[in-house]
This record gives sequence, structure tokens and C-alpha cells, in this order.
Amino acid sequence: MPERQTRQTEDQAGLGGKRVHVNAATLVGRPAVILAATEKLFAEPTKKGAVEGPRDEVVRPLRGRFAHVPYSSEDLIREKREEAELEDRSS
Amino acid sequence: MVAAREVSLDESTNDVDILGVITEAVPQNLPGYLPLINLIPFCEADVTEVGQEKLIEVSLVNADGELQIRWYDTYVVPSPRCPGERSFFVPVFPLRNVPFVAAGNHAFSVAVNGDHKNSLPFYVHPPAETDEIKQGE
Repeated sequence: MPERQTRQTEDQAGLGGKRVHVNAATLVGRPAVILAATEKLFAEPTKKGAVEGPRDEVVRPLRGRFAHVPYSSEDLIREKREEAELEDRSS
Repeated sequence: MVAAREVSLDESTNDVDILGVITEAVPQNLPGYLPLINLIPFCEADVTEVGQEKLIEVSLVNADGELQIRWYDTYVVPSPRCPGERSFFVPVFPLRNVPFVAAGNHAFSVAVNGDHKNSLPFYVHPPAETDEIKQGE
């Protein structure tokens, strides 16, 4: 059986044999700065696309379609009732 | 996947410039928040997934694996540049007011349709007044 010749790898100009040395650069990134938390920050309304985690019960006390109302649903009901009474008196 | 301060996109050439890669943070005080960090996952999808809507969720977890906060968005897999290629795309997530309660190892974990794909480690140094080096002096 004739001996099979392998591809010569010493030929720098041929395929599969050339290696080029590259000086790799090391990057050291500047750390980000975490700002101190404020009550106002955690009282901001939910941003679109955000789903909150375990902090819900602390910073998001209102739920449902009245979440945008700055007071409780009981206050809203009482206010509406007072408005209705005023309208009855004026009519 | 990388996290960076700034990301700029030239829509005319589709060039994306990523500026200020960050892997750690130094707090003024804890609990605190990071005003803005851009999370940039480099994604690829099979040709059969082109046009499908994917739910991409980014979760911030602490060293104990406790969920701190989660963001989500839906993304439609775009067509590849050439027929037959896999689809490569880079959705950029601008995460605002990222809360940090304690120092230590954190990670931004990315899941697609509920399946975890990758996590990016993010280390929060202790505040300067509780620096371990200064405590030893």
C-alpha cells in the first residue's frame, strides 16, 4: 500500500499553516456609580414594560384601574357620594 | 451579552456603537439605584423562528438567587440578511432606576419565552464607609 502524503504545514504561504501573533489589549472598565435611594424614587409610578418583583407591597400599594388615583378607593367613593348630594341639593 | 453606559445606533448603516462597558458598580450608599444601564444581548435564531414573537425577560438577582426586579418586552425575530442564514439581532434594553439593596454578586439573567438563556455577572462594591480595606486599617 503506497504511503499517503500529508499536507505540508511548514509552508507559511499555504493553507492551514500560517499563524499571526496579535498583541491583545486588556480593558479595565470604569465602574458605574449607584446613587443613594430616595423615597421619591421608589414612589414613582410603574414604568411601561417593567414588571416588579418582591418590592410590590412596599412601593406599589394601589392596584387595578384606580392605580393612577392619588388616594384610596374609599376616599373616591365618599367624594362621589358628596358630589351627588350637592347635586341633589342644588336641583 | 454586555452591559454598557451608552448605546448609539445609526439606522442608515445599522452600525451599533457600544460605549462604556461596565461589569461592576460602586455605590454612594445602599440601598441605592443605578440611573441607567443598557443591557445588550447578542441573539441568534433559526430561520424557522423568523417572524415569531418572543417574550424576553431580564431579571436582576442577587447572590442568593433572590429576584430583585424584572423587566420584559416582546420582540419579533427579524429576517436574516441573506436567505438561508440564521437570524442575528441585538435588542437593546435600557434599564432605568435599577435598584440595589445590598453589596455583593448580582446577575442580570435573560430568559426567552420562559427559558433561561444567559446571565451577566454584576458586582456591587460595598459603600465607601463600609469598605473592607478601610476596616482593616
